[in-house]
Amino acid sequence: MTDALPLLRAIDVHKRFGPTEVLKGIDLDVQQGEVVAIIGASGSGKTTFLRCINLLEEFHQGEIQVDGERIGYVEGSHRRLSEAAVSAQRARIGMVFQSYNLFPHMTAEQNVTLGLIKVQGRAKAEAVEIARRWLDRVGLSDRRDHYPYQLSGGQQQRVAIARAVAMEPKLVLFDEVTSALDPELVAEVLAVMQDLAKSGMTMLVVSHEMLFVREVASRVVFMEGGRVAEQGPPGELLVNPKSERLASFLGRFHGVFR
Amino acid sequence: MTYQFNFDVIFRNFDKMLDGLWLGLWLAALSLAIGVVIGLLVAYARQSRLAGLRWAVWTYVEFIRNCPILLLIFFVYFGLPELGIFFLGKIESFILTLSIYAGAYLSEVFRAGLASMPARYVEAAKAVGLRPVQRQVYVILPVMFRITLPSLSNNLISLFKDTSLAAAIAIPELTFVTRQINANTFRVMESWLTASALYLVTCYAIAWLLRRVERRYAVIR
Amino acid sequence: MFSFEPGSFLFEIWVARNGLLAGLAATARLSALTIALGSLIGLLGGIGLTYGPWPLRILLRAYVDAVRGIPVLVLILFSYYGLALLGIQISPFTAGVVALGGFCGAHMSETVRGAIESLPAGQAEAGKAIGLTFWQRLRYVLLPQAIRRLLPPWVNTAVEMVKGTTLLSIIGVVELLLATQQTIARNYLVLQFYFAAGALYVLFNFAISQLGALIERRTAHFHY
Repeated sequence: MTDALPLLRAIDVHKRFGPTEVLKGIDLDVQQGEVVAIIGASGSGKTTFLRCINLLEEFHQGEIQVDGERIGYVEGSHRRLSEAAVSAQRARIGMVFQSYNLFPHMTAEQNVTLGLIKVQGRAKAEAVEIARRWLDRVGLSDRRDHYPYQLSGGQQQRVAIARAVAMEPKLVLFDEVTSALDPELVAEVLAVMQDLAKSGMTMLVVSHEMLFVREVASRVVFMEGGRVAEQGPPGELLVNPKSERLASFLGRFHGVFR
Repeated sequence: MTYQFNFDVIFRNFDKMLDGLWLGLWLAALSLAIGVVIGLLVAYARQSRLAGLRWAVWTYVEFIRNCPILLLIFFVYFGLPELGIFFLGKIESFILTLSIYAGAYLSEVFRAGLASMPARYVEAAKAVGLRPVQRQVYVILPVMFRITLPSLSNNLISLFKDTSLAAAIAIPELTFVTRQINANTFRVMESWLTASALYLVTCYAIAWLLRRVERRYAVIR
Repeated sequence: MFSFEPGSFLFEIWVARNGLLAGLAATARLSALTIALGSLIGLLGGIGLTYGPWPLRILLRAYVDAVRGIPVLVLILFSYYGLALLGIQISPFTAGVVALGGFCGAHMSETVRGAIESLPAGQAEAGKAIGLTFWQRLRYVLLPQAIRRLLPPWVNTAVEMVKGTTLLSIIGVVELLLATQQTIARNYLVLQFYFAAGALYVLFNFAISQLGALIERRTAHFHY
């Protein structure tokens, strides 16, 4: 598996916000089927990097490739691809947001079918069938006609996950998806994510949930100051951090690693 | 389209246009002043315990807000003499109409301002021992005016634009003067361009001035 | 007061009914056309102000600010006499619709812009994340939500337009106000007819406002 072409490849990605450089050369490879967790302090650039992958943020230097295709910019130059081309690329990458971002004027089912019908061009009957399957898989088949305001945070987030994965993307990005949830609702979302991981989905997860990271991730990447500081299997990295900074970062999560 | 622009005519009549502009500003300012008084009275009347009074002023506000102002202007100018009110000249009649019109809109502004008054100011005024009327004069009204300053600014600018309707009863403000110039010289484009520019500049000037006032008297929340 | 002899109010209304009804119909048509035109301009203008390239935005901004700084009556007179001078022969009715529609469009552009910009950024991002193109995002995600926020200002603007149609009487369009004045010229019942016309406008505008408030209350539960 390790010699196959990586599904995601980030090469020397740099990004500035005005005068401040937020990403200072990110190199990362993610193989198909891997569950890579990105951890780090706020401001380390992990969310920014995630958002560069589906071009919600532009980046100024470097390359990001998904399945061999260069994301966002024309091959060989740094000119931006057309809007239509970028949209097509985004359709093959899924994203789940910290604040769910469900469309409030649509039911749970409609949230999921929108992309299937309007982006992938499926017929309505087919889209509904796929949506119901996924809503069932995340445990919300009885809520499919509910509007977001009628759902709890955890339920909304599970709909958001269904919305992202129903389009069968090559890679799914999770941006601190449990950080905005009340503690008692976190577990149901993590359970769904664990289920997805087991079924072989390629996932890139920015998270603070260290227990989840230790249990589910196949690799952990520690980011600091806009760079990848350390990476490795969770069993090693989290228990025996090599760098001082990672050790002090992990020290904040009392009791998780005893 | 072989129209040749000739602004000479405009320059010769520019002083008349400026006089008209100045008249419009006066009309707006007077109407605003009277309108503020009416608006305050109505706003307080809305809080009255007398249901009849509340209903009466509500009717006044709703009627005026939904009625075209031009119709009101004609109603007052041509209609009041029927009721025996003869002493109103054109300008007085227009100011009366515009004040009544402004009063209705301002009453809503003041109503909202009074409703959003932070309770702590009223409580502090009571605690200090001020009597009800004193509380209104020294605390509530000053604070309310500062809260509602942005809305008041908008209303003044709207009122100034509405003074152009005085032309409908031949009051020599800017719009009427411009029509007269057109009637004499047919320089339609130049005159309307100039009039528009004058209105634009004046509105911006008022807005700029009021923004400065707002900054100086900003509400400390 | 409720007698029906010649010279009384009821009698005169009956005599003048055709003219008044025609005026009322004209007011209705003018209002509808103006609001429709203004809404269309406002929708495109609002999208342009929010998302357009900077030259477009500057142009639209100039249009909006100019229209808002000039009295409506001046806009109407300028349009009517200016266009006539340029050799474009249009009826006062059409000139009125153009002028009022342009006025309405400027206000609506600001309203639409405000409504779109008030939406949470996450909505556009979620739309992007599932691969929707710009126009798809507008159509399926952003505008449906913006419309709910647009409703109160839109109703206000609609009422302003109905009131604004009276200004067209000055360029000779026979809408309700001018029709009323023509009737008064014949029977001298000044107070009664002006009051009746006023009552009609008030009733009509009040009804529109209440309808808007009703729709707002009914859709409030969506919480967006």
